[in-house]
Amino acid sequence: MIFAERKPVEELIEFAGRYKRVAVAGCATCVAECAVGGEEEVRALVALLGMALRRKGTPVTFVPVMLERQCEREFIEGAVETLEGVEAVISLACGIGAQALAERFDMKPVFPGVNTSALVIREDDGLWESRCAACGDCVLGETFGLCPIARCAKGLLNGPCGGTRENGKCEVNEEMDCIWTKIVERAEARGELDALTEVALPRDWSNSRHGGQKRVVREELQR
Amino acid sequence: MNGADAGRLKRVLEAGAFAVTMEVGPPRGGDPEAVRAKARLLKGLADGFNVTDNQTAVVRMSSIAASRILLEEGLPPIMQMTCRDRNRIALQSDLLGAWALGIRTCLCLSGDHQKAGAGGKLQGHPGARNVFDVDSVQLLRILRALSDQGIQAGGDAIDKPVPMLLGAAWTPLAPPEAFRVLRLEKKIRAGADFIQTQAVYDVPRFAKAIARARERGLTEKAAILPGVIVPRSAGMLRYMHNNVPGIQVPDEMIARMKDASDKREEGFLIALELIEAVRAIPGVRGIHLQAIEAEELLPELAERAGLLPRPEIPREAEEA
Amino acid sequence: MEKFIASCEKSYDVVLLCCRRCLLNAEELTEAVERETALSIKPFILPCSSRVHPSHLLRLLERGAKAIEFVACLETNCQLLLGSRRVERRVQYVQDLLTEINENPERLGLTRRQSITPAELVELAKERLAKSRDVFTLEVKDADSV
Repeated sequence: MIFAERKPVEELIEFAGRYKRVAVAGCATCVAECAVGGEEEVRALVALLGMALRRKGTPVTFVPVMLERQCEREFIEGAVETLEGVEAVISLACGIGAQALAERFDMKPVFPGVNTSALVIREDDGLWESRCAACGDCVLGETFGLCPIARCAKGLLNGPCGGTRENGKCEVNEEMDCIWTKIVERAEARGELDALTEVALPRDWSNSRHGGQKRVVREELQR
Repeated sequence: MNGADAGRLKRVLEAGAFAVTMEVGPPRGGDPEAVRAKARLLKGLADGFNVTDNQTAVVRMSSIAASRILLEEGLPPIMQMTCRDRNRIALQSDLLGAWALGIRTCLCLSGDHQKAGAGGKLQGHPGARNVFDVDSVQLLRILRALSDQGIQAGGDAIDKPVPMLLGAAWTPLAPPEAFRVLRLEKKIRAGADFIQTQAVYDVPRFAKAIARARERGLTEKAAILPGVIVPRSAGMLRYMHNNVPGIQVPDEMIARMKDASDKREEGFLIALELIEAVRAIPGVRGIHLQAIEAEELLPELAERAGLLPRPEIPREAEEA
Repeated sequence: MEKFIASCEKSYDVVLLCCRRCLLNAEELTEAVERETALSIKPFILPCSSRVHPSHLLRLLERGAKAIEFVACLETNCQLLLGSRRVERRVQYVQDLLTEINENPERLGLTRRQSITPAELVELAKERLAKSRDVFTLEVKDADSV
């Protein structure tokens, strides 16, 4: 899922303090899963910001709004009436949802309440780890199903750097496995270590962010 | 250029002589005199001098500029290039620039992550965006093609090839150990002419790694230069053992250093024994000597190891 | 919990949240609270302290509770095994948020007890209110001296 993290409250106070009536818009998909923009977090933030701004002597009315999916325009339409009634919005959705809101309201400031930071898997309660970097040219077929672009700190494609720790962890983050060690272990277990001796050539990054803005047209799906 | 012999390492290796390389870290500043002072200290001691490229992600004088200063001082540089800060366009451009400045040897590395920040001793730039457009193996391949065919990574030709001697690093004792020799093979297949290794303290384990490389015919295809770092204290050995991936220091060696009354001398003795031991391993064709932040030890070390004077190897006429 | 929050329409001095597993003589709680006329205490007995989420605590504070005293079982006594440990992390999280907005984090506090009587609960509530005031008083002093 798309992963996002809480922004410092101070940034949100600074933004909200310019208005009298501000919506806090949650999203029930990814950001709810990663417990940063779901219903619980919307309520918490409304209370927290309410307290903070009252204390500063510039009380603001916060209006909680929950959208099923902020990244789909149809769902935004369902909340338009409520949103028309506020001066500004703090969106707790990912960057996609926040922009969908911002694009819907030309004149209404939409401020991101979270920092969207990765594509992750939920490993445990309160623990997420990145899995995908949306590089646009998937290598999982050559790397035994484990992504070195998202999961190696240097995105190396030809095996581990010299920094693998004795315990098989990464030199950059000792909590993380050296993913190349895991790839090699899988290759060994399958008796296919030789598959990793081919030199992986420089990649074509042009199907990712590096190729410019993504725009995909699929005529077979068009009206 | 003051008698600079930029292609010396290549000729030494081709002549089958035992090669010696050392390291010159550029200063954290723009004063060329800092490079010149080190150069004067080390001139004539080795066949090539590694010039690091913002090692441990700390901003220093660029490798390319410091390499040029070494040339002016009469030392043959081994310009290091990492993939952390430059994409394939900049890497190739800088290689051409290095060629134009007379640099003839380049070491290709992936590079320390920007979070390294000198192991936490400096602030560094942990918030920097890294590049890693290509990795060290891919960089070798790209530079090999520029070097041999004069073809860029994208397929366009340059006016004429820029024949460089290309090197790579090898950490044979880091996990996953079974793969390390295959990674060496990839680097050699991608274009490495010579290999400098992580510092060796555990000679028997290192010898086994070299034996695996030998079995795959790799020692024939590239010259392997094991790394030797002069130890200065038991603490330094312990630190490296615990914190530097791929460095294994036997307990006996740490104890020996701890018990020694003259640490400086004991460090020399250990380094001299290591040089002798790795030199005896079939397939080893040179040595990479380092004295971290204590380059002044290197002249005495090279002298006592019997590595001086460096052999005369006639320069060919084409070296113009 | 929702009903309880909705029922907190006025500003109480202390909202008292207590896990029913550690409360003795629960029937005496109302009386003990009412006996304390000097301050208003709003008690709530929870089936397990882990039912409380950060948003509940923040909403109670935002609705005007001057302080919240939270009484949970010892970690080893939790009927849901991890409930009592989780709640500590949540309380810490909310305290950090309060610090971030320059509120006194001591407005919220957690006490662990194997067992507790209503009279002791009221004492804890008083202590919590005192702590929640400490920093306020200090801050006011600082402001004056500037």
